[in-house]
Amino acid sequence: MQLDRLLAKPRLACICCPLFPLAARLRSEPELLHEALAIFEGNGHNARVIAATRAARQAGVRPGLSLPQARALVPKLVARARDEECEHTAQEALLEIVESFSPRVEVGSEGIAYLDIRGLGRRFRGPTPEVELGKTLIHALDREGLPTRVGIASNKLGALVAAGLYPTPTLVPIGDEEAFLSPLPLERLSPQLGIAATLKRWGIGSIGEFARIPAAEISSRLGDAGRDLHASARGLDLHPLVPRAAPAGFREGMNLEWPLVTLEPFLFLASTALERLCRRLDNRGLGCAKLELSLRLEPDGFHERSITLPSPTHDARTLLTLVRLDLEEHSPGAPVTGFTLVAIPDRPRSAQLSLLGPAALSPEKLATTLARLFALLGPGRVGSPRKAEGHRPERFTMTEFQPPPPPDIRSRPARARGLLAVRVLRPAIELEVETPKQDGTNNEPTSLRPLEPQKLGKRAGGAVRVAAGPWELEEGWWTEAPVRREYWDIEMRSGDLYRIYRDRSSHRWFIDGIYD
Amino acid sequence: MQRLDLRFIYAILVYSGASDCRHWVFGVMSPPALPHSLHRQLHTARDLLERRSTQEGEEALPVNLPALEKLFPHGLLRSELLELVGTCSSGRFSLVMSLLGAATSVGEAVTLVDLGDQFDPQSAASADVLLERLLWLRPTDLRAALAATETAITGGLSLVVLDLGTPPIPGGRGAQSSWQRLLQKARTHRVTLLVSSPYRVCGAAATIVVETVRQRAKWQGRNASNLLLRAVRSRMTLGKVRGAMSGANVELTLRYDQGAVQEDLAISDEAVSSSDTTTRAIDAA
Repeated sequence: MQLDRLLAKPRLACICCPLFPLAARLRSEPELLHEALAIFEGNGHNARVIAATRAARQAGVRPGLSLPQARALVPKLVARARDEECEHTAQEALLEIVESFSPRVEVGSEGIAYLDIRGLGRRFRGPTPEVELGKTLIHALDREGLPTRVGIASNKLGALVAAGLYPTPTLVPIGDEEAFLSPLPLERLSPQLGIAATLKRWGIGSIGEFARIPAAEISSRLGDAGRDLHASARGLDLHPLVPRAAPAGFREGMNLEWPLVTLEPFLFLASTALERLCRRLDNRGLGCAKLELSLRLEPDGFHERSITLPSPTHDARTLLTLVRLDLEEHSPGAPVTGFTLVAIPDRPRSAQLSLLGPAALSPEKLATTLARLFALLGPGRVGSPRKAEGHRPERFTMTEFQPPPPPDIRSRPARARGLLAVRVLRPAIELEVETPKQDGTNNEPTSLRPLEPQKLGKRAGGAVRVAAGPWELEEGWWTEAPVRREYWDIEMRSGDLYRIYRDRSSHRWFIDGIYD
Repeated sequence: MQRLDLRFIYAILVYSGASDCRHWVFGVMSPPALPHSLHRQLHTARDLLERRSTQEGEEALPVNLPALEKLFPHGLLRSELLELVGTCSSGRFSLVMSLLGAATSVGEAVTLVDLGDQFDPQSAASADVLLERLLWLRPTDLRAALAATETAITGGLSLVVLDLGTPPIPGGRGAQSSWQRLLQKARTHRVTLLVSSPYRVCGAAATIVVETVRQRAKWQGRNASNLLLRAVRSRMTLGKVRGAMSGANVELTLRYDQGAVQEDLAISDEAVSSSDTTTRAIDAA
């Protein structure tokens, strides 16, 4: 019987963040927590206080006061306009933390989420596991800077009402929803204005009185809206919980009180936003593969940048360095009035460690290192080299560094062939070369001098002791810029060994390699 | 109860090696009379340090050139800063390629910080460097190169090579404190740091210095059209080893790999000559 009741009745937790606009602002600016802070909505004389901190409330600041009235009460009142960006990111953070308990989460109104907790009670010990679950939820959200209240019931309305009661978490036993709601005033159901007026004329003041009226009578007189309201009063949910789809990216940002002109103050704000972003990614076991930065500019306009990382990371310092380098290179060109950071997540690399083989690289450590190197050296300067198709020796490609796992058993290296390596000069350095005959019949170099001696050192150049060649290289004859070269291996009197070539199109000489 | 004689204090150390388990006994003073079997196992602190370095050698990075094996019989020890110094065409870069190839062939991931941007993937692949295990960094100046090296060391890659290219080094020699800092980082993260430079830059921070000196190039053929560069011979000298004798030297022959000329590529043992005395000095190191 108990099992049947459990299967029939869902169990929902309503997570409610009271004074949500204030909580969202304090999450973005935690240093204002102990200040007399008021959040207002509207402009000029129409600006009204909608939430205030305890310090402000103790001084008499109440929601509904105009901003000048609030300032008259508290001269040092810190006033902040309601920030949709802050609230959006705070709502996302709330939902993500709740989703770490169960993926079945429905988005309620501002600062409210419903969580399906069926089966979660087994994870928590104690006489009332659901209360323990509620406490754990509150602690987890508190760590994120979101003070919340939790109510647990079998329907959304019951859970929402329970979340508003003291002490928190409040538990409504299974099947007691109707009795729990019965003494509450009818306003708790938030009826439509017309229905509320009708019910008032009927003399109905509490939810219990409304629930005792037969459903058919309500339906015939008040229509579908009245029927739904009546079902809610009886503790029934006509609309089941609809889990939200996972978002594509993680977003943080805020609107600024005054425009920022220089980079450092912006980076100070961005660093805290990135820390929050990385904490959220870390909670989900994800890394940032791509960071999208959107700056709102004064008077209007946007500056949008996208930073692709070589490997997913959740290291805030690395991301901040990347943002700094990118903005130093691509300045927005106007004062910044707000920003949004969106992290496109990806699964961090995983690796199987070997017991007897060489130590494998920690994927997380490697990802952070690669991101730092990327930030330090810039794009195109960090990667794994690959040979490129073609015959020109200076050609190469770079790919993402993803070393394969080491072998299971450590082995001895094969005996090397001891080959002479060549240093490739990129770009090739132009030379002035003397040949025995100037008519092109004998191009054997007899002496050379670099046109840019500072690139090869003071001792470069001089008489050639041995010259071997030429070896001809021809590539891309079908293109507009074909490559036709005559290569020579030469030994200078000083003993230096160079690889030089003559461009057959321009008849200019270049050195492109040093045997070393 | 017999009174304990405190004049002779012995410690019994159970040393668990990779292959076996030994009991080592060492004392503050020589005992007046110890059983011969026990006395044979008495070691000085110096012996213990040597044994320890031998044991650590099992974790060292391998070398795969006979000449290098003469210089480093236990491989390249971790937590060391090895400075490889050599002029142009002295075989310095070939040695770097050889060390990268040896490390990658046993499954280690390595980093090359290429200040001169002179790395040739084709040449490296010929030298048996597994390119997918190589992280190639291309800084533009010495300051960025030092910072990248430090970051790479903290990344957990076993061998980090900083190649400063050919002279002049862009950015000068770098501050001595920078090299000391890199050495400390290498020790902290147990990484072998190899600095390849045309002249000495690391100063006192280098724990081992190897100098390569160009000897001569070997050409085959008569005139320019059929002349081929076949090999370059150079001499490697151990310039400095912290805590051991230096001055050992070996000769190294590097073959020119030119596509069709593939015969006779393996190095014969005759190509490597070293005196017994120098070899013994290296073994002691």
